[in-house]
Amino acid sequence: MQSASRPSWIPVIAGGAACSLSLIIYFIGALQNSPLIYFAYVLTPFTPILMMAISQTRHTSASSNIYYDLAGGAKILKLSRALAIIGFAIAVPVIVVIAKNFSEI
Amino acid sequence: MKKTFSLATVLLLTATLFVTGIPQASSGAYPDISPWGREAVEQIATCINSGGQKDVLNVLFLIDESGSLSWNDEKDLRVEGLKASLDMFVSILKSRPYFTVNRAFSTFADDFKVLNGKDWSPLTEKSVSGDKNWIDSTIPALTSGQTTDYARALDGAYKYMEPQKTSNSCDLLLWFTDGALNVAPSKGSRPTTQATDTAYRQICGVDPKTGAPTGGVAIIDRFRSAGINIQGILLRNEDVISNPAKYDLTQADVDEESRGMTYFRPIVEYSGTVDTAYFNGNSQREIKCGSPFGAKGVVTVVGDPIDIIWPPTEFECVTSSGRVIEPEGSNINIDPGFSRFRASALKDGFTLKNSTGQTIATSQGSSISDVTATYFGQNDAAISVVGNIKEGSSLSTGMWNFISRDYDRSVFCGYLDLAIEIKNDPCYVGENCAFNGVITRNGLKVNFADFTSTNLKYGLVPASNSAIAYSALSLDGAGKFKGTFNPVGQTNAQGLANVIVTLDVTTKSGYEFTFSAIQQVQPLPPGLYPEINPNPISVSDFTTPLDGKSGEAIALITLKGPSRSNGEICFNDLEVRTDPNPNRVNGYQASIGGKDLKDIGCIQIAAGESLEQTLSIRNSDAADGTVSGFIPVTFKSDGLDDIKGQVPVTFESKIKINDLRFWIIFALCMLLGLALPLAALKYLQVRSARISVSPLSKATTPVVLSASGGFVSVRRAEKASGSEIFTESDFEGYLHTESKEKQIQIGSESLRGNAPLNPFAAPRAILSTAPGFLVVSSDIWSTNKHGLARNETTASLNPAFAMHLTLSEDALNSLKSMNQTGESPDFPIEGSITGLLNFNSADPVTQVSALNMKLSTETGWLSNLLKIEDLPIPEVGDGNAVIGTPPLDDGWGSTGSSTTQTSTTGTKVSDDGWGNSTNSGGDDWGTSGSSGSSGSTKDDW
Repeated sequence: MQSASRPSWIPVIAGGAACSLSLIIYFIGALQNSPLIYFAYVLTPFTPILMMAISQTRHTSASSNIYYDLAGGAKILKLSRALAIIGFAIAVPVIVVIAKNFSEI
Repeated sequence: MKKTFSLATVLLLTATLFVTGIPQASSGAYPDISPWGREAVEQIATCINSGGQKDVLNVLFLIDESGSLSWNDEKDLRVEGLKASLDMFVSILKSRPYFTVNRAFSTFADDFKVLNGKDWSPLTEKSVSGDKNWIDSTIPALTSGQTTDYARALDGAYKYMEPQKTSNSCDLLLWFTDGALNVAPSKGSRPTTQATDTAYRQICGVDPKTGAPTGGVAIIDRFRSAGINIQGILLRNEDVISNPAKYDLTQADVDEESRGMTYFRPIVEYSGTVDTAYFNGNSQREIKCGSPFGAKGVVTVVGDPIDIIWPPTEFECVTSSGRVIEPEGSNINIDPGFSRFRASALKDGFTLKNSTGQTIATSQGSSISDVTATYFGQNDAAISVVGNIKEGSSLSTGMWNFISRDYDRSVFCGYLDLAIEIKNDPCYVGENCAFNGVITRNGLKVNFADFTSTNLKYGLVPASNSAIAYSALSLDGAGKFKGTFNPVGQTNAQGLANVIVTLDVTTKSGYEFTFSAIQQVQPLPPGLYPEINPNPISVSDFTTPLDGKSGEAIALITLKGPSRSNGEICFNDLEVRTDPNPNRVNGYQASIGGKDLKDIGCIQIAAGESLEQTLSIRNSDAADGTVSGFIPVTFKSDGLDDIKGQVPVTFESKIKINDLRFWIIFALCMLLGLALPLAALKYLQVRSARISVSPLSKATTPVVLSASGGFVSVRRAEKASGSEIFTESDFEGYLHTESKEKQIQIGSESLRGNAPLNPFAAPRAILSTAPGFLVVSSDIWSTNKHGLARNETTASLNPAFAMHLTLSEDALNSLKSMNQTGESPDFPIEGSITGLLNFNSADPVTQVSALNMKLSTETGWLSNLLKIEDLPIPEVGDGNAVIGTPPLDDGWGSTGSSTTQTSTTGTKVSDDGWGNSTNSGGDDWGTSGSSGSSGSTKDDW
């Protein structure tokens, strides 16, 4: 039996948090030389991408439910896609830091 | 209070803080502190800040364990004071990684003793927790003493500290007592006034009743002449004074104890008013204890465990290149030039906000990520919040809001982190000596434009302890200074001249900071001792900088023998004091002639000989900036006393990157970080592109189409009971089980899953009818898309509440013609409409009605038919090929589309898909499935 369902914001929140945390790690100079920079690399781009995939899968499967809030789901999907792109953008400077750390001689 | 302070005001403020925790409170619950006490604070701070000279801090905790502590320290003042002090010393270590703090714990009552297992030992961040646990478990029980013999305590403390002292150490006695000297003539006997009088004479060299000098060497003078500062912490329990009976004491007992306490201050601070009634006198008088020369002391009076945590907090501030900033109301001006802050207050009611009103921290902890909050004091009653000031961040300059429920018990420390580094050229007896130096912040250049005034001066610390005669120094743009002095008559008993450089700066809000550093200079007899050239070894003397982790800074130096005798130069390891990465200061390896300076020992040089050597400096960590420090050396010459000195060393350090390795790692990380997620996305798309066919039912109905004014309408071709397109009986029940398929047939149409090229786009379905026919779908993304054939459209992967309409090319032409001319054709324009419903959730009748309603109200998707471009005119000979194919029978029953198929005219399918539709701007960027209106573009971006 289908019932009314609302799309979850958790993927957007998790993706946003991952982007924010990665940025914080990047901008705090002391952390750039700590192992946390590798955590930042896991956070972006992987986490927002994963969140986007989750929200997309949920949206696709939930859209067979006529009571599902399609507009809300589409909005979440849109935001999670934006975060995935932002995550990619944040990943680039993080990768530069990692590459620098490894290539110091 | 005015924000502008003179130097004296700053010193007064600093010293006052030791007493009360805030500047203004000095005139309140606690008496004023003497100038002696103020100077003591400055001495300690200057010693710790003289990084070129001092890199060790020896702290002896001298803890009173007399019986009176059982009531005077009922609230564990000693415990909290000791723990807060340990935290303070650990903080000093953090800001000065090159520093070593040695600590030892001792007690006194009848005699001095070092506590078992608490001998001199380096204090570290790791060891401090062990010390704290020991303090918690041991100190409260230390109340067994029968007397309070300061003479034995100080004598024992001095003898214990003296061997620990070195030329590079700052030395501090942290003395916790309830302050009533009370001595017995012999061990085990009862205290007497006579014995106490004798003890005080031994300590101070004065008669405690009259203040008259008694001759002999006062014990306290040994501390002062040895440069051991004393911080005396006088523990007073006000409740004992107010309610003596509660502690089984009489008022007379309490009064006697209070009189005895008055004799504590002169011991620590040289002079003070005492109540001679304690020694059977009858007056209050000021007495002086010992000599005024040498290291000074300061008394802190505390009566509450919360009060005792503030003096160490302020001490850390003052000795770590900071100063206490008192709030105006609750506002604190964070000026340009501040490098970091520490806000400490009672936890309850604490809030710190930046200039924009953003909360930085509350009693619950930090609210932003680059701020650290810790709790301290008894029951973690206080909070300390630290962070680095940075423009453009949440911790930028401006008017901050520092909210505390008790400003008397709070400390806001603003740090400038300025360091004065002094280096001297070789100084020869009878000549003027030159020195130079630089002011840096964490090894980097200071922007002096941040300060409204900068005043740099220098002088020589007189051996007589009289006032210092200062001369002005000028700073260049890089913060460098240089000067000369004549050491004649200015050296101490060891023949050393102490050059002091003092920097006064004022921030834009008027906060004045004062920093001092001392450099000891040994004037040498010219030609009698070996020399090192160049001296100092500066940046220009290095042929290569310290380039990267594996690089080495190299300088050529010459060791020159004395002119008339043989000599030796003994080297100690390089001591770095300023580094762009302070965490690596202990990681340097320096060698001369290939031999590590740690092991090289002495190099012999004959008279007149010159030895060329290579100084090499390495570090396994790299940083960009200028590094400076010194090599401690001892010059030896036959027949002469050894002379200790320093050779200042300054060199550049750089981070070196292997470009090839950088790009390889960058490319690999990019590949892993970008390509992998993109591939994973694509994989997920393909996996998700499946048609959900669970409980789906279908109805196909022939319809007649009409068009007018750009709108298309349909009506059911066959008669039904009502005017609805669909009736419940049209639906064929549940024909599919729970499953997901790549492709399903719906009558003559096929619906197949499709993963777009764009990995960020949602997977979709493509609805295809037979060639020669057209199909439009009510799904939200049934817009025309590039790459689709003329008989295709996009649709939902979950066709739960959707419709699609198929018609022939001829029917479309007729429809367009009807729309343009307004005239109905001779034959009805026929098509077939297929409805898809998910019947598992609601009343079927209601759902069918809803579908009919959707058809009558949301007709935009039907009107898309009119926007479909016409087929190009077929070439001769290519014309009449019938494209249409009979619909497949897939068990879904009659398609109802045969009517339209028979009127099919074979035409060539356009290559450009759906052509120039208003909705054809799609680019696959994420349209999402919906059964809503189809007329609008749904580009989710």
